[in-house]
Amino acid sequence: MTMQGTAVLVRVLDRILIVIATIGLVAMMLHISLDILLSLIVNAPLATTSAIVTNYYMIAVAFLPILAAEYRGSHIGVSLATDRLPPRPRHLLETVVLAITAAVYGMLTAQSWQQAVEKLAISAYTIEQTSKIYVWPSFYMLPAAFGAMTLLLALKVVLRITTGSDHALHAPESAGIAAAETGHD
Amino acid sequence: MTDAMIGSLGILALLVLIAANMHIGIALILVSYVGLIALVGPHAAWGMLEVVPYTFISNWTLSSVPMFVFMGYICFSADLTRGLFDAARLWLARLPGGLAIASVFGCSGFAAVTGSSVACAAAMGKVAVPEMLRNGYDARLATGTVAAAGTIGALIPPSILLIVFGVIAQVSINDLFLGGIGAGIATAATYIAVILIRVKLNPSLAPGISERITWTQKLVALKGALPVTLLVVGVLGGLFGGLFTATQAGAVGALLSLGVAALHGRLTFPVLKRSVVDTLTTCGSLFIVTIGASMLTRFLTLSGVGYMISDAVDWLGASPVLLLIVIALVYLVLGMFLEPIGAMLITLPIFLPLVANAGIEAIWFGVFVAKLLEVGMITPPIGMNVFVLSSTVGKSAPTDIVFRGVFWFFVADIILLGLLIWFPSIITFIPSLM
Amino acid sequence: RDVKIVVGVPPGSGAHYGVDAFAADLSERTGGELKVRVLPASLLNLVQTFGGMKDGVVDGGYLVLNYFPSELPEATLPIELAMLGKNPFAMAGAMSEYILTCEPCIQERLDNNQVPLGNASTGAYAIIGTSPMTNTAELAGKKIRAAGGSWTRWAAAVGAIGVSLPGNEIFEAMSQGTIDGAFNAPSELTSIRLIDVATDVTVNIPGGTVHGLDVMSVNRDFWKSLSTEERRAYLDAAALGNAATTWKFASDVAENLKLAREKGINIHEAPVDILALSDAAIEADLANIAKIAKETHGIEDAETKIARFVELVKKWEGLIPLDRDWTPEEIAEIYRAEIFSKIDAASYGL
Ligand code: NA
Ligand code: NA
Repeated sequence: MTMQGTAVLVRVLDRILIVIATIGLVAMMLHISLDILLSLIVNAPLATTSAIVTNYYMIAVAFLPILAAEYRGSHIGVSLATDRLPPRPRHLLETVVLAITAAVYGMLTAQSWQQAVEKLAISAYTIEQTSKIYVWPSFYMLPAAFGAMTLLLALKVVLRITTGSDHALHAPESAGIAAAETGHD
Repeated sequence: MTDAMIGSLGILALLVLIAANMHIGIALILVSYVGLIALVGPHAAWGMLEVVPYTFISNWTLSSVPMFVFMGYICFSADLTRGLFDAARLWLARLPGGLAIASVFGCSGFAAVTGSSVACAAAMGKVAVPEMLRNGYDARLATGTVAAAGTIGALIPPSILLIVFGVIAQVSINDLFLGGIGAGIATAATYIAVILIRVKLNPSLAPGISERITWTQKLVALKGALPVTLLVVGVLGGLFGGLFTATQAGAVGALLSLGVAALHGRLTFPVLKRSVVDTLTTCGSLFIVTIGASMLTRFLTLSGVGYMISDAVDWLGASPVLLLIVIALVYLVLGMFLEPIGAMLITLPIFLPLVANAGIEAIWFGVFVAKLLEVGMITPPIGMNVFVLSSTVGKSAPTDIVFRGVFWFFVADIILLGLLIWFPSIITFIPSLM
Repeated sequence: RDVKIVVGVPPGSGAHYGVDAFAADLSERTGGELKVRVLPASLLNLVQTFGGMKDGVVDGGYLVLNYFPSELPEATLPIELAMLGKNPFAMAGAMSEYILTCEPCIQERLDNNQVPLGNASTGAYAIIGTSPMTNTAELAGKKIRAAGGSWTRWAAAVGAIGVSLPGNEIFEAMSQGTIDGAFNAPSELTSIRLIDVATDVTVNIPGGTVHGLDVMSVNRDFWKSLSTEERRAYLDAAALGNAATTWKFASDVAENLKLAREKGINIHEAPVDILALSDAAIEADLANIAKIAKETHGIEDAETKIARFVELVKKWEGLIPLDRDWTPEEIAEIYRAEIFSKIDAASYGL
């Protein structure tokens, strides 16, 4: 794959994951607010709110944007010591750390995939009050998020080894506080 | 090798990985996983990796975190905070260092709509620092004030730190929030005192403002502070008035801020998009750390190294003050390097039992820990508030200037920490009223 | 040799008491060969314990089986019959006997690499609230936190509204007035501080127990690694673990009600006509439960199984009547005689 193709692939992945996570975020806000409103006005809270919030929205909001955070350079790390290294050893160390990180995410992908398959096999559900809520689909969000992240990190490692830089795999624009938080790269 | 030795080696490995700039969350997961293999074998370690991420995140109380983050980013992106600072600026112009004092007020107001201190520093940094520099304020004073006052954001409710503490320590988020109010106000008061004293001693730091300010201007400015005031009243009023719980308050806050932004014609698509993307990237980076810390907690519990440390300092329990001083020192050192939630999650399993044995109230301790960790946000070498401020303001505020600027605020914080130990009612007074 | 048992709730609970009693008994029966090491919630919480035990992170642990309907559909049936619970010792006995003599119930645990070793029960549920709730007029429209569908349906039958809320938010919600009360065993008065906010407790309705408590079950590989003699000792000690856990929950109820009275909280009994209404609602709900068991959990022969559990509850209410005081050891002896002595340590769960 060309470097340009790789960059496009990552951008598309980022978009898809962000869109789904956004649905989770906005739905969480509306669902909880509606629950409160119904409880206050007609004394009839939505019985299944907490089950859906914890099993769907939270999972979407917490896991799916892991790639988005990497793409925008906002994962939390301490570059204090590595910043002081000369360029070449620093580049080497960064690449090694990236490769290990990719391996850990790969492990998390395999693990969560196995779990999702198990949950599907028993059609995992939860009971809230008197309602049955299927939860197995949400388990697939974990391998999706971890898998995408593994791919991005692996591509970064490959680019670093072949071209010496993974700059093509960073978000083009960086706006807002979240980007500013680690704007010291 | 004994279990405790495996635990200690794990901590050492963790420090090495963090120093090598591995993402903290991944370093925590990796060390815990390898450590668990050593302790209970590969099958059980693999199982732990399965059990933790989903069950830890699938938590109702924790669901308020993305909501409060969202609320803060909406206010920030829609620029709802500018009016707050403008009003404070016009009303406080006469005071020595009036603009700096106004920024502390601005931060305290914004604190009531955001859960994190980073957001608070960034929001006020964007608004207040350029204004101060334009009026000839010393760059160190201008930037230091906002970087430090940003920490109020995690003390005055809502507070993500306090929510996470409440989830781990199993104590009431409401009571923690109420306790945070006292600590937040005390912090603001201390910072204002620092500004007044410094400007009195050296008036050139903050030249007086020459322009005349009319009462009409002052009253009009109050109107500009209305949006955020509405939000604060709606969210904290509804929360403490019993309309909804602390967990639900985040969703109400996010929805209300969208409404207020729309009402002021500030809810454009770019604003919305930026709020959402910033919220999601914050969540994506934050929760993986909490998952990692949760894994580490399990590894340390199983290795017994936590008990080893507890036993080592248990004799301190006889003197709660001495115990608190030791704990404070640990957090100040950790705070130099670590991100606050990670630092808290790593240490609480060890400290909570000690503190309980010493008869220290959990609510007070939670707020005290939040205050300690917030001090870490402005200490070098890793001071998130400083970095954020520096990057929001731009090249007029390089990090070394900001770090120098926060120095006196840091000194004031240390004094305040002592006061919190001496007069615990600074924190517990408000919860005791409810 | 260490037996690692995780108890994912704060110290002082019935589960801790039961595990401690079990530990002492097991150590004595094995001449100190098997020693229990109790691990705290920071290792695994109540929900995580299921997976942790399955994968061998721990040998045993405290489970509330109610949380795992899709993994344990068979166990869910007697759990759904919560409202039959008036006598906790009988409910723990009935539940233990039901599970340990039901082939599919054992199989579903083995499938999760666990071996079931009996159950314990909470005390009977009461209404703990911020206003008197003893009759339909007082209950009308009241929002009451319900731990499960059985209590929600009961609430609907008397005109109240069952609300779902995590346990750690009950205090908060009740003190703010977001809810009017909670269906809980009065032992929760002190364990989640409800004593500081409640003004009224109605003790004789709605009743119902959570008898899917499981403090003694173990990882299957661990079970296989024990000798037959050790398994025998483990079974006999487990009878005490279940009895002591239940006994502690029950005695906490009495203790807490005493404290509540001293604190000036009004303790009510609902009048006879409400009890009749309640009994009728619970009776009528049995058909509902059969339907839920079939449609939601996919259980076959639900009616037969329900009838069997109802029978067992009657039998155990006769064996351990509440008209006298019992010690944990006395209860354990009955559990051993009726259930655990009939399990073959040489073959069970292997
Ligand atoms: Na705040
Ligand atoms: Na720091």
